[in-house]
Amino acid sequence: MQFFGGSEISPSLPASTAAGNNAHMIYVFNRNGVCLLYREWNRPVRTLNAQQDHKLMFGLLFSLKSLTTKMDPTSLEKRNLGVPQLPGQGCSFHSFHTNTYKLSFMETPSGIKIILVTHPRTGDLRDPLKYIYNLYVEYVVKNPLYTPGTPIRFELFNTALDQYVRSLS
Amino acid sequence: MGPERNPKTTRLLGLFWITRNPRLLRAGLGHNYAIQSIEQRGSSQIFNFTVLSSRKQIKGSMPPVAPRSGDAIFANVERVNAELFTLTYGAIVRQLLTDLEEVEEVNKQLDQMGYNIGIRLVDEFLAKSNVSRCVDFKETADVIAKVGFKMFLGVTASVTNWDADGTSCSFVLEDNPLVDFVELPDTCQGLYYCNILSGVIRGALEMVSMKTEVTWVRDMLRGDDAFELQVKLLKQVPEEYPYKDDE
Repeated sequence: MQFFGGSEISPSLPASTAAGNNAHMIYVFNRNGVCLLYREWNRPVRTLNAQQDHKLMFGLLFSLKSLTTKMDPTSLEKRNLGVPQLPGQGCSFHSFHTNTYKLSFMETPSGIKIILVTHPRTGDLRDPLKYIYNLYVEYVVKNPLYTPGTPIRFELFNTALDQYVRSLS
Repeated sequence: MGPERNPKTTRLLGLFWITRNPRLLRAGLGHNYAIQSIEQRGSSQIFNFTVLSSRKQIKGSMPPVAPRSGDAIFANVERVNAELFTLTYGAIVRQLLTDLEEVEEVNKQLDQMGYNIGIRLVDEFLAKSNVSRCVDFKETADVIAKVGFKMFLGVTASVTNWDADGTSCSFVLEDNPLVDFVELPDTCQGLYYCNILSGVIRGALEMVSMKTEVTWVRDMLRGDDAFELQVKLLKQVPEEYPYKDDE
């Protein structure tokens, strides 16, 4: 019996299912912290209300980015934690995983952040995240009737996203 | 179909989404069209299209790993007749002149339209070109000139006239597809016909945290030998935590 999360994946964890269904949820944020998209496929437990949940996720990413830069052994320039960074400064992380899930993260220079939470055994998702960014460009950004910075509510985009995410292994 | 000088166009513009490169036009309804012919019928021009593809097909291929050159991207996107693009842009300017009457107002409106295009176009640019963050403004300018202009306009610009501290430079365009068929009449002398471009650059750079000021230095329509756009970096906006603590 372990009380503190060990490095072993807990035995009770459901094995990753065959045909996709590995993804739990996705978040897309813009630079202002507005959650443009939240979609879940498999999330049995919810502890917070949606808004708090989004804020927590955004805060986590923001702090982690700041931390990773602080710990960077290759860069001389050190600033205090939490000091605003200019674009292009600092470094970022691609993913982390815990014993129960894996979180993959991509940020574009335009400040769009895409977060995909999946089964811990999923492989490198950097390319799939770029693909999702492409979907976002094709179905959302190029839609003249979409107002930038507002939540995404487009059926075609959702369908394409669902379809693609289901194909991930 | 020979081009008409000063074409009178109908107001078909509400429909079109003209952020694209000149050879491709996508209508707002989600279809790509290829132009078949342009007919002159009385005072209007009739465009005949065929539908190339509908948005319902899954688009977008796996993005490439390495940054791509402007030529490579340009070769890969769907394109449409440059004349259609030029005439469509012309029709926008024409309509703005009719609606707003003041040339100054038209300049402003074109810049604003460009800005609105720029803030969206930057995402397409980033997704397709696969460039990552630029280290400094110099690199940014190079990427815009070599990749950006090529990808969306089909021409390349050169970057010159750097100032001493590297915060201001010029893009020089020898060839500009927007101005085919155009000659400024006496009544429009103050018009910056391509002002949409300055707005696009300003908008796109703003989305990557650079506040800039973009002005025309040379304009072929005003008798200069090239188009020159000066871009001045005003400030870089740091990324801050967007929520207040008490929210």
